[in-house]
Amino acid sequence: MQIVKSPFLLLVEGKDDHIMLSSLLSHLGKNKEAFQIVPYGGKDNFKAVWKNISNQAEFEDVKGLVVFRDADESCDSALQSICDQLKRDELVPRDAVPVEAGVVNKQNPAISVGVYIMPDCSSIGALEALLLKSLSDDMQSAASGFVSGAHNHIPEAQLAKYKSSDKSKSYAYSALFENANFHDTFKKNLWDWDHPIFDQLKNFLDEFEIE
Amino acid sequence: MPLVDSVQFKNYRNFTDFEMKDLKRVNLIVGDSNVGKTGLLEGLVTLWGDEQQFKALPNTFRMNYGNDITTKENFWSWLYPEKNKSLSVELASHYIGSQDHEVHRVRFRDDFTRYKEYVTPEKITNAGSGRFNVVPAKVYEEYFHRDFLKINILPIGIGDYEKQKSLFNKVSLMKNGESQLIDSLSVIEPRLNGLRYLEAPPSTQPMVYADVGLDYKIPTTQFGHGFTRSMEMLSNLILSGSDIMIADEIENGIHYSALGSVWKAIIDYAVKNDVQVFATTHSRECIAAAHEAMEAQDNYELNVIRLQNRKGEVVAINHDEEDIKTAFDLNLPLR
Repeated sequence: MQIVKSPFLLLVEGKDDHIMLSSLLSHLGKNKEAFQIVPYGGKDNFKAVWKNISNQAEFEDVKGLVVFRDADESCDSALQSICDQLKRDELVPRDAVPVEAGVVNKQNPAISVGVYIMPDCSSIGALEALLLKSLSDDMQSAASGFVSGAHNHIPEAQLAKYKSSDKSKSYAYSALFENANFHDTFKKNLWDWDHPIFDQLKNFLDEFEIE
Repeated sequence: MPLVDSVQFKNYRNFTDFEMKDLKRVNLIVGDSNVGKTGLLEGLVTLWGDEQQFKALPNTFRMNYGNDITTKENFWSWLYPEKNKSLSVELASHYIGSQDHEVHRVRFRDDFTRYKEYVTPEKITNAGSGRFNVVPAKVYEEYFHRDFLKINILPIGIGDYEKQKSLFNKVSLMKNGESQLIDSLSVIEPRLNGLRYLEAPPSTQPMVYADVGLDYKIPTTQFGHGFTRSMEMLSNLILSGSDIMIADEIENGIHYSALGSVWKAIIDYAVKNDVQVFATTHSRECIAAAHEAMEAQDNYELNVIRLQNRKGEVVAINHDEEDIKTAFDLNLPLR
């Protein structure tokens, strides 16, 4: 079983990020063979997955590395946590580890490394926050209104499970198109990748000069 | 607690400057073919084994061919990196539970035969100072207040029933040997009350029969693969009274469905009898079985050690419970 198959590696939190990035990179005309996206199954798994991947013999051939993580409650903490792991065992040269989110460190000729903290390397939140901002104001209000309005009609037994979150709102948007699930919205191109909100992420990815 | 917490090899085979740290009760060694897994086990036998085990090394884990001169040229000389005898081979291990930093070093002589005289235990009374007190092997026990380690090398593969019968008989002759074996096998066959070596007519050959609480006894050949393999391994361990069990490709000859039972029995015995295990494997199923069996214990004491060539050097990468669990959850490689 070989896990590292490409010299350009993108480590993402989960399947949603995987599908989103695949869709975005495809929109940008990148060759699927030129990069590899590996989900690490949530922030708590990053340490173990990073150790496994970085110790693979094939990792020595990796020239570009990006780690995506959700900011959740703090962008700085998320960045710090990823960078601490990248420095472990020095399998990535110390001078290649970035000090700022969303900025690619090209200081070491052996490998370029970047850490991107969703949604925009400064705000709290996650991938869905970025996606929602790409919708028109009216659509954002409609999705938000549905989620908050529905709250009053939820049976008491299910109320504890209710969450008015960016995730609920983005799922509400995806439901408009009778999708089987949230992932289908990427396959059906229901997000506007040309929206300026994605420019920061696109510029970051462009820095890696993927073919 | 495990007996040995680290092992160092210098200028031994392809291990130029190698260290395995944070060793646990059960240490499963994995890695690509020809990375040095078998060589590592041979190093452990060289370090801890008795003279007989050391001399048998050319045939223990490998195919050997020819007379003494051929063996010297094609096995013993290779204990030096690229046969370079000018290098000083150094094998050492650290023992825990001792206040002092106890080191056990091995050096070779040209003929590779008078091994025991060249086992040189050392005790660093002040680890920080780098000063060594070199102690002759014959006063080892007096000096360290403990015996040399005893190791048991598990035979490769399965299958010789005559050998299994013979092992059982030897275990039966030992004080508490039989009860120890039954107790350990009960982990995988809770109905087991006893084992007997009997000639049961009309059969004309004696066999080992199991009492599982029925009106009749069942020959052990009728049990699953996991039971018979475990019986063989445990008999070997009980007979040797070993501190350390060493096995190359431990999954060999065991159907994957029986691996769980075998590991359950080995781990239970190892924990109860303070035995440390070093085994190589190529099988993900084998790692999974060991992981599951260890999860059932009060303390998780499994370490999967991946040997890997990194820029020409063999390095050992430890995988703890979290790493192993994540690797299985996300289908990451471990071998």
